[in-house]
Amino acid sequence: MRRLWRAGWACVALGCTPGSDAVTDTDTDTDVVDTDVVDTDTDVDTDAVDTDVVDTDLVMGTPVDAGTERSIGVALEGVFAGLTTFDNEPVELAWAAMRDRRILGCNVYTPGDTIRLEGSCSAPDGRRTIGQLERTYTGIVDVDGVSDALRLRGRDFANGRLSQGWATEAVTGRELYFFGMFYLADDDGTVGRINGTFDHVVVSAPSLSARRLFLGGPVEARDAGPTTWSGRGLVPQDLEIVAFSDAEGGVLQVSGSVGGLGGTYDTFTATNGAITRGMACDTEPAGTWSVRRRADAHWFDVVFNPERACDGCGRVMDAGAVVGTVCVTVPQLDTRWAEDP
Amino acid sequence: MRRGGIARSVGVVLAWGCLLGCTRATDTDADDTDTDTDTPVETDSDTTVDTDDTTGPVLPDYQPLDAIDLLVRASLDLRGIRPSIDDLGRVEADPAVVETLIAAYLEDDRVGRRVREMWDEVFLVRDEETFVTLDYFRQRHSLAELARSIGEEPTRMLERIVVEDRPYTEFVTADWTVVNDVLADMWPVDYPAGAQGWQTAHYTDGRPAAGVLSTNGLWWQAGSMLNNLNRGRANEVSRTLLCFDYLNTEIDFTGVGALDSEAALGNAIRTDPACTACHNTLDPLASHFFGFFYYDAQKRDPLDVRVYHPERERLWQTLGGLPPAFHRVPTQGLADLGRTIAADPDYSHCFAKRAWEGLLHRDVLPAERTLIDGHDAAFRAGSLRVRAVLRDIVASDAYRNGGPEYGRKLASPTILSSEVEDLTGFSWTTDDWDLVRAPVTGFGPLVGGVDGIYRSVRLDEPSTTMVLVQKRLAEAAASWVTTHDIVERVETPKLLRIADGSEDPDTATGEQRIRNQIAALHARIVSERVDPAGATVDEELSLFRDVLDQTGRPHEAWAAIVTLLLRDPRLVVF
Repeated sequence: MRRLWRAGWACVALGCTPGSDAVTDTDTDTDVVDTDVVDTDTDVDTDAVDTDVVDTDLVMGTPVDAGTERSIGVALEGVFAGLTTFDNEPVELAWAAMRDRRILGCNVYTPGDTIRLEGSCSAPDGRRTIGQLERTYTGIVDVDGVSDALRLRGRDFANGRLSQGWATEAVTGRELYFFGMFYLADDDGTVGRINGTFDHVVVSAPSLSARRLFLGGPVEARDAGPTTWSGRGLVPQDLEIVAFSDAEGGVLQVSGSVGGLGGTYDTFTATNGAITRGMACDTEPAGTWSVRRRADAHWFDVVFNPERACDGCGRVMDAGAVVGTVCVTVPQLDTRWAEDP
Repeated sequence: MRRGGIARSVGVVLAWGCLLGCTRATDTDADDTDTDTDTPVETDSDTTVDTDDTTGPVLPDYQPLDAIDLLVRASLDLRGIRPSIDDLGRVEADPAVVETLIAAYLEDDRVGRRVREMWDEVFLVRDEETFVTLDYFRQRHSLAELARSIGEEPTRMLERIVVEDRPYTEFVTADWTVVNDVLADMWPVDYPAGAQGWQTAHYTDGRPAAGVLSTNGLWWQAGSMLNNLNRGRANEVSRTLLCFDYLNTEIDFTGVGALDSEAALGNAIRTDPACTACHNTLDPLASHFFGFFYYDAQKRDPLDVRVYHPERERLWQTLGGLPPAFHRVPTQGLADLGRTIAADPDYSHCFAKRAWEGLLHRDVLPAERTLIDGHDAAFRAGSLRVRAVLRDIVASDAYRNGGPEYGRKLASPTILSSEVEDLTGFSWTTDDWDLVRAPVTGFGPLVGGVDGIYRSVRLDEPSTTMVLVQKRLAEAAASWVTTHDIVERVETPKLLRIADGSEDPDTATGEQRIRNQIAALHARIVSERVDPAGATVDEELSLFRDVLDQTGRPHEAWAAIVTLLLRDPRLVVF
């Protein structure tokens, strides 16, 4: 099993198709080692760069100082630690706030399992509303329905474990889906606001479970507590977190962005990001994790590739040029991070 | 109305064509493609091919304008108003004084407003249809307030740069903006509490400092659909600031596969030379603007569109864009782009070209392109202060041309509006819209107004609709000013400073005062001296008597005279 997990790593990190062991390498720098570094800066200290991953065609930039490397590392560790705080709660609270204030009397449609609000109207008590929003709640009880409703088609984990589980076990699950934009304010400010696509799916079978949380845009809810991601001012943009776990371990796949982070770096973007438990290299994330320095809107991309060296370190890139190395400590993954929708 | 009056009115209209030069050559050789600057389009080689033949095109036969006409032209172009009677008298006494007056006009703060108005026609954003949805904000402000305020933010920044003699580089690097109380009510800016009107302020949402490139005003107007991925915005930046319009680039689709699906289109954009020629530079430029990117629902969310979105800056990655770059050199985001553009030679050259076109109210002819190089050099020598390049252009033979070709030009709607307001105090508005300028509620496109929707090319020949709008404007302004000056008998009349309505034209004293007033109106409104005892005044006195006989109301008789003069073609051709 461990070998399978190891092979499955490539799929986790690089997004291969279900049922295939082939590694689809989206990083064009792979498989060539270190013979011909393109150095555009004569002062570059190549020792500062993650030496096990130097490729041809790499452009060396002006190295960042050690303090910057450390601060990037700290920022990323904060990002990793905060991933499990993202859930559907603020979305539901925003929805509930608007529903409870009876603004639904303006334009409400209820086709099937969907509730749809439409229009730009004023509630009877004078509160202002604007927008259009759909909320759909779907129960999943059959395998075929799972594959569609989960919106997980095209994914797999751990060398086919997910699809194998679905194919052989009874699967149940639920999906809660919002789409649109609705905004309600009163004299004290925003009551609730939902803007974008929001999707939360949970499925489980006896031997495994999988979840998908998609937060397409900003959410505000007055009733959201200060510890929720919304209450902390975090702003997701097309943030997708997909988790899979079974008895052997688990994977958290991350893509998309979150703004509103405190500290030196105010935004992160994950591209094919992943953190694992019970796999070949749990001490290093996979994928590219980018952070934006607040002071000057400067982006640094940190490229991790545990396939090459499981050392917890990634290459720091600045506008395509290598400028340093960052090493991080990855928290132990808790894939029980979300409740049922 | 006697025949003389009718004949005069008809003559006003018939005089139109020849004022612009009956012998003007056709404009078919005019360059309206903005392709004279170095092209960012990728070709097999990096050289720019000069297709001009060996002899090259010939400059028009510039002939000097006389001093009075030059005075009028400079006053309207630089201040938006006609010269005072005093200025007129000084130049009549000594034509050389016109240079002193032009130098003074260049230092006038109204130059800032004029540059703003000229760049309204460059940015094409001062229209009534914004990209973002304003429904929510209309609960607090009228559509006219919103559209005008939003559209003016970019050019108000430019106005400040002119008035305060700041370097033009700040237009794309500044950490400040200029907003009014309407915008401050919507946007995250440190607008002074309790203030009114346009003030310098800063965005407080941490957006990158990139001058106009960081303004809501620009991007609320110039939007991008989801699949467009900011390419339209990138072209706006290229077109307005660098004078390269990708949409004017010829594309040879020969050999391009069928573009019958989204995927096929996306593939062609990245692989087919016919497409990559533009997209390899356009798309990296577009990738800078995702902090202002809105999905369809988001552009209807008032809280979403008001702030900058750092969390969207990297959407180009997932939506199929290319990494941010300018002319193939990678950049580090919007602020870096602003600095890079500011250092690009095309940036100042383009401004010089735009200023030339704005002042001469026409496109640069192929033969005149070298003139722009000279004005750009003057601009740079003047540390990119806008007045430096304006001064250089206004001193040029091309600007001072009074010859048969390109010796006259049409006033823009903004000049027509401001000169009439200055003469009469009358502003033609409804629901806060300036009717001379507004493209939908008003008559802007009918008068040659350029807004990018109803007109994209400036009018350079008189049109029937222009004459009609001028007529209605003249009638309304004349009625307003004569009521103001005579009926209300204000302390400081705007126009009628000799006659006060009590004059009896059948007495020698009364007739003389009326004659003197008519002559003074000629000087003030059309900047010409007429003999109070001459034929022109005879004719207009006759009209005055007719109207007075029929109505018995002196202010209506004066309104007829003022209308006649405000309809003079010289108010819009100069």
